[in-house]
Amino acid sequence: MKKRPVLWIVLALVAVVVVAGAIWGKQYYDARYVGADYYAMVPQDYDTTSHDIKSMNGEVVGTGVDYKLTAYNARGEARPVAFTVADPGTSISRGEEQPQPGAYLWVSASKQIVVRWKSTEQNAIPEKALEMIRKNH
Amino acid sequence: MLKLMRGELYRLLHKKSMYIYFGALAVTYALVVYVRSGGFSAQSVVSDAMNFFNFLPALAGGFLFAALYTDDLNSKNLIALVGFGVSKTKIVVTRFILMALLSALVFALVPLFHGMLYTLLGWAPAQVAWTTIYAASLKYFLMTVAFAALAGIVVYGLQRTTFSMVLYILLAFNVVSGLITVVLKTFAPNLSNYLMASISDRIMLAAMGSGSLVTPIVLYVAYVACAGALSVLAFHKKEMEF
Repeated sequence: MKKRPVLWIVLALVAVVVVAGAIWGKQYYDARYVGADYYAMVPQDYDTTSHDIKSMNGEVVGTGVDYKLTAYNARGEARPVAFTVADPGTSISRGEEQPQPGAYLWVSASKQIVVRWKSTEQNAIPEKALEMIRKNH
Repeated sequence: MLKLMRGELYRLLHKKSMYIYFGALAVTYALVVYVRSGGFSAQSVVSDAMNFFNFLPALAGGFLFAALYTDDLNSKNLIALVGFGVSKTKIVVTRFILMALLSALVFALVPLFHGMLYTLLGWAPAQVAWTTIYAASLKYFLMTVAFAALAGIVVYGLQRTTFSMVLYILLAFNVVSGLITVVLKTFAPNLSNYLMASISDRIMLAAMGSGSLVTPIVLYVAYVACAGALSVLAFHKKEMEF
């Protein structure tokens, strides 16, 4: 009988830790993996020269192109987006084609990273976003 | 046989660890769904069900298999039953029916729980989604029962809990079917249509209104009946070890 209060206290602590962990986990997941729709265009004068892609240890793992662009959402709000596309045929390539200058892109960007991106048509871009892209290129 | 089933059901329903285990599983799943809810789309309720149910033959079926089949070995209940004159065939059939009934209960409730969680988070499944979710649940229910029937051969043939549990888990995590598929792809690609994963897939598709139900159902029943017959044979051949 004496052990009961201790057991309940331990169970309550575990419950608090689990709930707090879930709340923290949701915040992290949302910030990292939940993307919002943005649109961008690769500028006509954008340098698409390949360079070495390095791992976190500084080891060269392949070659590819870095894209650092300004993207706009349907309300015309801007944010910087950055992602790298490996050269086709290299071991780290995911089979994506490297967008060329003038290409329009749909980008799903979370607070921290670009979750997904793909090439898109100009007519698939919301009016306000397209207006901002044109204004800034 | 009914008395045997009633006795086993009584034992299982008074097994505290079963409630704790399934409760913990439900809470864990609810938390995972909550954490991921920010990224949901209209398709998530179906695609997540497919992904989640994939683990249930191991997570839910594994517990039921252990509770129904291997508990008997650990507690020497199997020896007691045979000693009391209960026929070995009756023991095998009773265990199988109970496994099927309890799995049916789990796989009937899981889609409801899944749908309820998504509804609470504002992503209530549409009518079509419910059909797909229940069809997926049916597929994994059939796989769970078939895996238990197959691993049952080892339970009765070797009467070793570790071997039978390892075999069940390897079957449930598709390790065995993966290896067999690799071999069949090289030597007899057509035969991979007769693996349990493929048969249950065809039953799921038929439940969703695509393809015939008759052939896969006949194959499934043949699978389970063969496994049951082999279990009875193995049990009759094996000496009871005291």
